[in-house]
Amino acid sequence: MDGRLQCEVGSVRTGEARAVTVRGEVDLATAADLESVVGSALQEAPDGVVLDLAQLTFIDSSGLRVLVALAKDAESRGTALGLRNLPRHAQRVLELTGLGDWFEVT
Amino acid sequence: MNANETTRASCRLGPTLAAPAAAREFVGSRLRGWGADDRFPDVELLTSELVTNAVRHAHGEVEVTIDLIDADHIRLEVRDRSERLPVLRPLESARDGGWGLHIVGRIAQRWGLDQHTGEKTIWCEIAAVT
Repeated sequence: MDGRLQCEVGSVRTGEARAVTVRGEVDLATAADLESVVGSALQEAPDGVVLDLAQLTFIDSSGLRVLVALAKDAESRGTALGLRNLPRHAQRVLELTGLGDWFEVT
Repeated sequence: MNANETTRASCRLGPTLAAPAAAREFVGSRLRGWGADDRFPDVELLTSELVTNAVRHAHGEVEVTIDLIDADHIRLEVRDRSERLPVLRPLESARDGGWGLHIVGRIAQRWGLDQHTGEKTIWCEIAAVT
């Protein structure tokens, strides 16, 4: 994994979305890593996955593309992809692209 | 900002996955050096989008130029080795990406394309936040 991105996958707890903490930057270099880590987490997450983005320092449309693909994956499994502690810069990218509806933002 | 100080800088990057991050660092450090980084919070996002497009769709070196035109405006140019112009697809049909230029179009005051033999430049100008 590119040193610019770190992900920490939480354990599965019944009745709760599985937490994944995302730190660093999601762009062309790191988006595939995020897709792989969160995609695997979704496979064993009957109550979905929530990404904690408090320490996300940068995201662009490469990252957003992966988030939308993961949200579709979650939807096809009958769950959802949630976003928590969305930083202002990430909220702005969602607003600019009109893609905010894909996610449960808390 | 000293009137005699150069406020235009370029860097050349190989067409690698790491190029967008390197370009963001370059423009960020130049703007910090010119004491202007806090007035243009979107410049790193714009840089990332334009360089990502260049790496994904063109082949060969990418040149990034940042120009502090005056205290309130910057111009960003990204030149690549492809004459092929990007297609701005409708947002709703841009399922697998293609959002980069929409982001540029929504942030930039003006943007455009210059096509030359064997290369093109996408440029945009942004105003300082008030």
